[in-house]
Amino acid sequence: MYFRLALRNVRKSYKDFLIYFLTLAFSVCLFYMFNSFQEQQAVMEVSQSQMEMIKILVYTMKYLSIFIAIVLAFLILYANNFLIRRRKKELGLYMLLGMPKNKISRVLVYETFIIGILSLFTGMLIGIFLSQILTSVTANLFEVSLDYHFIYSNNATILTIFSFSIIFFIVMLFNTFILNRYKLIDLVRAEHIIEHMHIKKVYLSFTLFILSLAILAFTYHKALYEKSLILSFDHLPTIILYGSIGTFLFFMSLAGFLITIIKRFHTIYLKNLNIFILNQINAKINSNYISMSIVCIMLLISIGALSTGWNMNATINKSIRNVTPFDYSLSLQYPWGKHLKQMNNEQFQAVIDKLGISDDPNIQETRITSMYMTKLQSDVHSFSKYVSDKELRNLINTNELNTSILVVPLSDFNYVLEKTGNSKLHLKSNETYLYTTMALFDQAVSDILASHPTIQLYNTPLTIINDTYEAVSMYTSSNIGYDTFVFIIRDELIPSNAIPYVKAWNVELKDPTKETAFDQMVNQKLHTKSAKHYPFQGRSAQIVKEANKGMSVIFTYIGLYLGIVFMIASAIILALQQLSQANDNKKHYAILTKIGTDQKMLNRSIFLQISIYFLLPLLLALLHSFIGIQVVNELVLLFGKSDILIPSFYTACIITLIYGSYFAITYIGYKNILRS
Amino acid sequence: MKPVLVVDKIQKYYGNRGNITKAVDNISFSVEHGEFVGVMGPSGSGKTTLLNCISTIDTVTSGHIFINDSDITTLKKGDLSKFRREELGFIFQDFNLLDTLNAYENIALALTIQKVKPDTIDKRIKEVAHKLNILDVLQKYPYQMSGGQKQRVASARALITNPSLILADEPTGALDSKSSRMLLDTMEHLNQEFNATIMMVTHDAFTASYAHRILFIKDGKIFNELHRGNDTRKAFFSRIMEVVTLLGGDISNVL
Repeated sequence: MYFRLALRNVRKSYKDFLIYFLTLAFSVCLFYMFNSFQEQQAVMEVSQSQMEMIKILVYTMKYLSIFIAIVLAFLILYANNFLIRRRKKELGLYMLLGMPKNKISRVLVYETFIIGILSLFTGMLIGIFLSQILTSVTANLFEVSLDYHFIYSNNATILTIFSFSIIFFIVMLFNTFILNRYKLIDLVRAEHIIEHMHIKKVYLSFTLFILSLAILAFTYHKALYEKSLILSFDHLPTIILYGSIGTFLFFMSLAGFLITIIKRFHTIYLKNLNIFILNQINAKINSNYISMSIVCIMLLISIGALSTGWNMNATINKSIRNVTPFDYSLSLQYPWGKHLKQMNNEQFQAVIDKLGISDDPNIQETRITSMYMTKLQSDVHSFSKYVSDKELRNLINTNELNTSILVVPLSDFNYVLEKTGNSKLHLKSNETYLYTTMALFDQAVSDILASHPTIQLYNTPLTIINDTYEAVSMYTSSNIGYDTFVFIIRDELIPSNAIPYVKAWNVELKDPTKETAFDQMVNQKLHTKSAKHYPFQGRSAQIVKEANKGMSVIFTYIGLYLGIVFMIASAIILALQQLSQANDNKKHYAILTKIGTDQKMLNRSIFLQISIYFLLPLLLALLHSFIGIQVVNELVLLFGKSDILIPSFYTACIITLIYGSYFAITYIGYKNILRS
Repeated sequence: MKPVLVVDKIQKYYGNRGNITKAVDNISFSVEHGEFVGVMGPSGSGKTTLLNCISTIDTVTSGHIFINDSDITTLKKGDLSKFRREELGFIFQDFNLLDTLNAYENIALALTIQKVKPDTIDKRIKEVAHKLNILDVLQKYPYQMSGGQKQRVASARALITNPSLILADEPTGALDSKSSRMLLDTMEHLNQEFNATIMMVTHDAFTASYAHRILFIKDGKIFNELHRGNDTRKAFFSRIMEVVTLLGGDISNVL
């Protein structure tokens, strides 16, 4: 009988349950999707190294899911709490009719159970469907072909059902607990209890508002000005703490501040329903400032995760091309083998020939490229003075990173340019070309290039002629680059006794698809006796590409997962608050209708109220993330030069899609509640 | 003088075939400019339905209602709200003030939805607040006011737009006797000094005795009509009581 009552409750008030149900189903769906990578791999033609990457991805997602499950648990409890509060009167009626509390909580347990089963089922179905699409996205990101057939992940299903069962169990306990605390009189009179009005002193909200702005400005300054130091993460806790306090105070005082200001402008304040709208928002923000601050911070996490994820993806993908100019490179790093004797190109070739790898039938073309180490004759200060950033300048002057100035012969450089599809470089004997492969030094190099200074290399005065640069790697390597300053000069300017930094034997293959076979062949030969003396490093372009692609995919998915969950969580909190307000506001709108307010004016008022409520936390979060992303960019720079535009575009798309649809649902739902 | 309100054979039916309730059954009357009319009747007599029809909140089943010569039964929904805010003023039993706004803002709202120029609003509010003696509560919020103050603020909101007709639905229903008397004195004052036309629905004989003419309604029909003439309010009250007794009203309807 109680089960039937629960069933009827759910069916009858499906409108109330709808947003709760959607939240649950969506969470389940996301949870399943992001845990189904293990099975996705089955339909993709992946190589050994990509398989490793997917394994890392699966583990990352599993651990991330624990965190996500906790976030979702809080979200679901919050949504459930709203639902219970809306039904106070109904629960009161049960009690009034003499139903004992344990029977009522049994009804609630059944209801949670029904909703849980329904949403789990629906969410899983959508999740399984969407994971088919996600598979093709994954294949696309990994750039592998897809041998598609239907996939279903048993692991993800078990994990999803397990996690959500726990969450539902907590919800049931919570409901029983809440029910026991209610008094009958509160339940019956639920509608009559007026929310306590918070009216703050005007000067107090003014002071707090200015204080919050000052704290935020200080935090921004600290984050931006000392952003290079943030790499050491020393300041991060302070910045997060100050930022949170600033955000909190901002929402606490914002409404009071705004309304005082706007009240002075009668032309705005005394126009249409503005009085009503402003006071309504004022009252709501004043009683909900804590959750608004939390929403703002969650949006910041979401925007940060999304844009950093995309940013990493774009950055890594962009640098892949520049680090893999050749199908295969066998390099000898001199700083790693101090005992190595100097070799010229012929001697180096002889060593390679001795290994017995240079006559492989698959070889199309080989070429040795070199980089040389030098000390700048003129003081390093002579060009570091052009660097505008104080910290970078210090870094160069003190040589903390222990880097050398590198010199590359023009012919080698032009060969690489040709292979990477760039146009050739022409230099006169008194000219040089400067670039860096370390994105951290991008700004420093740009500063130096802007003033075209003259420097001394191998006793020759040379003028830097380029305005911009292309960061290319002289051989295929897995690193995006740690070469601080690289100078290109004409071959004849490099003396025969110049100290080599790297010598690399680069191979173009006839059939690049057999790269792995070539790699294995070389690896075998490197373990022979004659190779033992040399710290050779072999890199195949394909393996480097796959590893980097894998990294970028992992970053993208972490960003997407975190970003979407937090975006949805914040949108749901706002939507629930607005919808529960709609019920309280019913009588306000009835009064407004009675005194003759136009429907158009009322709709505008609803629209404005909801949009301001949705936009305020978003705008502050955008400002926060604008600053935050600049700081995070410093981290991304370790992976290469980043382009902020495209990641921001994708992030904006996701925000508009998720946030926008929750806004639309809220607006329509709000109007429906008022109409009934 | 031309009547402000003409009610012409209106009917209001509820329910469907086989089970029809005639809430208002063929009622006709008119209200002249500057009149203070009371409508009395026991619960369920249809007096609130009648008021809702006149105030355009509800629609009639048949018949016509003219306010200042325009037939409100033929107006469209959009025009109705325009008509409501320009021609009518409301005073409700439960005040119907917005609890997030203070008194000043509640009164201002009646003007801002008419798109009155913002610079004239302040002056008009001060004026009406002076008339109703609520200047000192203008900055207070509803929950900081007494019932009588709330009802006077509501009256100010009804009055400020200079409506053709003020409709009051049990205005003293939620007030104690002292506040009731103060409010009724104010309404009388408005009627006499500013010539406001008022139609008031009540089931309380004391409240009704402030009116100049009383329509008694029973089962949706006009049962009796009483003019105060030159009687004192006390004498009028006794005459009302006689009719109430006749109506068969039990003691709870008397006070």
